[in-house]
Amino acid sequence: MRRRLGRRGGIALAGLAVVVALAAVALLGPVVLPGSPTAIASDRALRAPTPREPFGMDDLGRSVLSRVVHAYRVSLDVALTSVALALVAGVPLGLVAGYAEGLLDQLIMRPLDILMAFPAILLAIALMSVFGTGLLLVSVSLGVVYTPILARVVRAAVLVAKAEVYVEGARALGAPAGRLVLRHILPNSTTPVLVQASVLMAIAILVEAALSFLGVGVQPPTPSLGLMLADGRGFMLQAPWVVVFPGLAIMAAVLGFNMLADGLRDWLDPGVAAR
Amino acid sequence: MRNAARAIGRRQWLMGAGAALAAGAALPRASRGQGSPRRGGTLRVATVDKPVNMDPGYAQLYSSLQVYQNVYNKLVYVDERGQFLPGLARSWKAVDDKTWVFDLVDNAVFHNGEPFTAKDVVYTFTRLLDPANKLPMRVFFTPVEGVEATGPHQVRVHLNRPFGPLLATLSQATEIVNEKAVKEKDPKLVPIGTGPFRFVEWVKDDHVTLERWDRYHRPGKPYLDRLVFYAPADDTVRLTGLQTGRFDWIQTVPPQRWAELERAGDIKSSAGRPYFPFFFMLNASKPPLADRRLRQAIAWALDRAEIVKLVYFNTHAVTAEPCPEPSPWATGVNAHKTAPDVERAKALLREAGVTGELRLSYWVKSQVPVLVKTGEILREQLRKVGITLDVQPVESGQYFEGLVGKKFDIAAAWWSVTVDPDLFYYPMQHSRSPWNFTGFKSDEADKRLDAFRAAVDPAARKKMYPELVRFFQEEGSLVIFSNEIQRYWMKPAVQGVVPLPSLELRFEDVWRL
Amino acid sequence: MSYAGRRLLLVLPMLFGMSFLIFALMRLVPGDPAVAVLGFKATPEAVRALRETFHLDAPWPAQYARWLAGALRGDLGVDFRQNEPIGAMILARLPVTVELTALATACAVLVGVPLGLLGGARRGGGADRASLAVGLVGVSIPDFWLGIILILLLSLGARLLPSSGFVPLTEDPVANLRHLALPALTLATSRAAVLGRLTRAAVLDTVHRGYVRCARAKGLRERAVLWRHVLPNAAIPIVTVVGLQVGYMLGGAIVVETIFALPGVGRMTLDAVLERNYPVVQSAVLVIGALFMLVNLATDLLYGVLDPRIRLR
Repeated sequence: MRRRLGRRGGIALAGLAVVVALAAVALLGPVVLPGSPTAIASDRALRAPTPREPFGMDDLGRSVLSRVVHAYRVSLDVALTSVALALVAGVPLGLVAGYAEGLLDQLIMRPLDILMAFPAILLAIALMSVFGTGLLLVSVSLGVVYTPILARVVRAAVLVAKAEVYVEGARALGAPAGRLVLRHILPNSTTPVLVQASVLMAIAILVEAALSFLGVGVQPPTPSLGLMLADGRGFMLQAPWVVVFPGLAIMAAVLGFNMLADGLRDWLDPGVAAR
Repeated sequence: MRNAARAIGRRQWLMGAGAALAAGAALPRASRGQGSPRRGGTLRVATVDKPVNMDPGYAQLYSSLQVYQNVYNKLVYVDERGQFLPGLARSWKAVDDKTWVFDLVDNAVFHNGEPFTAKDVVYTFTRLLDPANKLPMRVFFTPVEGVEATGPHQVRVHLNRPFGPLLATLSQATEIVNEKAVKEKDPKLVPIGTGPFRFVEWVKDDHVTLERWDRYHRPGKPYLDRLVFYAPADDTVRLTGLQTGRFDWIQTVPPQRWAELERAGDIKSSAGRPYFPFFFMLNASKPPLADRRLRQAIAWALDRAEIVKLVYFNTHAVTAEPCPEPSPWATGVNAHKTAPDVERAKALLREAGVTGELRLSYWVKSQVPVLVKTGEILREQLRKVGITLDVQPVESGQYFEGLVGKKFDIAAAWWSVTVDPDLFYYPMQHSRSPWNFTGFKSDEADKRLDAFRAAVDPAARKKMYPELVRFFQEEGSLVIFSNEIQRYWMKPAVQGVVPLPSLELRFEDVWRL
Repeated sequence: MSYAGRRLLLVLPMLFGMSFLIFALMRLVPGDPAVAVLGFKATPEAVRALRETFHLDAPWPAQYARWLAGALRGDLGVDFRQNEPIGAMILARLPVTVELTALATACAVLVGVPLGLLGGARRGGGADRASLAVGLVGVSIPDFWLGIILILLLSLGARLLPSSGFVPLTEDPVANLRHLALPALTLATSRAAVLGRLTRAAVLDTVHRGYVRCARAKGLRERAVLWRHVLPNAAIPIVTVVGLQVGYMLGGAIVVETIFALPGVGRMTLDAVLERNYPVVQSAVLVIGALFMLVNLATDLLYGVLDPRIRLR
């Protein structure tokens, strides 16, 4: 099963490149950049972008570039943590539900269906009003929201894989369940799971920003792209850079993950190679 | 742009203060503005919140008061100079420390046709003071023992202890209700009073309509035919509504727009008066801020002007007392006049035995971004003296829990009762007050507050007040840092609007050109 | 039992599950809701009075049963803060959310689907590449940022459209549409991008199927092939996603409602959660959940219409 690095593979690589670049910015930026994200300077409030400060200053005289870079770290942190949590919880659940079918399947999937019936933002807000706001709790809440989605994807893949002839054959020959899962089912599930995980990371960045924007996500003084947008709204007309750049930053990150997801989907999916 | 912002800020505050002083020294209300009042017209008003409950015994949400204060009358009113004016009471005097006599007007009529008499005043107070009615406003009138009618238009108020701020309290609460009206219609929904405007309709979530009461006891007033109150969702909608003509008068605009709106030709604003003290509450009930020296260190590290400039765009007065100029209670006393003084703050910290880092938590409602920002600036200011401030925005439920449970070190808040500073200091700093969230306990403080409250002679109270202010600045657990300037914005044709210390919107004095 | 009937039966337990979950979550929130609601006026007697009025001291199951009984009667209770009947509150705000959702969905479908069709039909061409790029960017734009930028450009900058507020349809249709234009556009953009990509993928999927090649071989014109064979088959995933999007917008357009100051259900629910205004949260979630499920039901029924094979299951 050779996979050619076609044009689609190019998109996946491009997406990966963007994501890696942003991760680098998030990790190294705070070290490299001189400006502080929290130092307040009243005489520099709302200053327009200059070559030294290409993103301008916000209403408290803080460097927007510096804050964006620090905030990236927060966004990526939340994205990775929440998706990791969802994988840890959702994959086993989906495997069990898909493999076992019947009553166990229903027992697992019905409560997850109920969770999925809530709009993600509403559920996250409700969870956070119980557990509190802040970085870790945002990640946990999002992890809870995403678990059903991943479980569903895994379950569907398991169902498809089970139906594959060679699995039936192996089972008829008496191969133990565990081996079946590991050798046949799991490898075939990885593609949809990886793709979905990438998509979820993209969404996580958006949802974290939205939650912070509404004031129920990451709290100041931790910088967050959503918070910067919420604060900057009041000065949009006088100082548009305060809303333009954080938004572009969010978009870049989301775009990167989406490109990665697209590319992965098209590259790894055997059906596409034929077209 | 940056220096211009600073200059405009100072100029505009001076303008506000100057206008306030000028207006304060001016002519009788009716003839302020161009020409003499013209009768007629409708005024469409946009407030910040929508009203919820028209019963004055509840005073539930300021937005309700704004409406029903035009439907009811109080016994006594306060003007922009802090002087008390006749309302339904023509005149009054203190017969002794615990007894006041009020002579009432004889030409007032309720909107249901009932003539106003002393019986209505007695009924209002009996209803308010009866614990079975569970009216929240009762707690402000505990010194009142009872009210008796001593004539068809005279009442005698009996107090169970001397109570200096009686007139101030009466001017902020106790709209007079009519027994028959209360029994016939639910006062929460249908207010019936003696006021200048009669209640017409309340379309929930949309508007309240009032119309002129032709038998108002003040001849010639009100000037307007109709008054309609709207409560749009947010600042921008209100402002846009004013600019497009949907509203004639709005209550607030975002501070960063003040400068631009002052230059706008199609909008005018009233004078600006500071009536909302903003302050930090320092938790004195537990270490470390139980130590007075640490509280003083914070007071010395504070740069008020920087906060007012960055967070409030100079739409607050920089002050250290609850009733700054042009209130008659303004003293100019500031025990920390030369703040910020980093060296002094550091010395106090050393004296208190602080070695190394001192961490304090700053507790604030996450839904009030300006107070969150204030915290961020305070954090930077305190960092200079070696204090690390953890800014902790929490949602409002948790905020009040923390306040009541005294879990915070520093919290930021504002208070809106400023006709008499007693109504600020007593609730906040008296050891027996349920609003003393800082847990401040001091026999000396209680003694002073009790004396300030018990003194009935206004001159005596004025005399002890500056000392009171200084005492609380040096010993207390509050650090007042600014006072929000109340300013209303309206179409140029609207006349006669002025912010009042009681924060009432007295539309009986308003007319349109 | 018919297909529709079976699907309808599933709705009730789901609603029950949702409402119970929210009820449990709200009760888990630390702190006393009475204190939260009363704020500065939280004197001990006021707190006691509020707790008594709302039976907050009764055990959980009793409280839930009481609420459920009321809800089944159609009485959603009154809210903590302002004693307003919740049913009326929701009814007042529902039209805003529903209208916004309808407009946004209509725009998204009318723009996204045709673009996806074109892209799929002309695979590999310049138009396809362009639409792919646009689609990718479209799904990556944050809703709320797009809304802010649109306000900046079209409202504050060019003064073409209002930036906030709402006028009911019955009062003034033109103003109503003007106020909803920017919010609908904001929501529609990323939905259209999603639909476009999806349509394109579905088209590509079906274009290579047997019956299409057969139709082409028969000499049918491209457009006819598209309309008569490709689109109906691509319709199912499209309808699914549109259904999901509508469901999301009904409850999740909170951010857009905030930015444009629209008095919708989402914003009301957010405020209620933050204020610990439990009765409002319960009822709002129930109503949104019910609507969401109705929408899903409608899409499922639509499948039955579009694809007879499903109906027969």
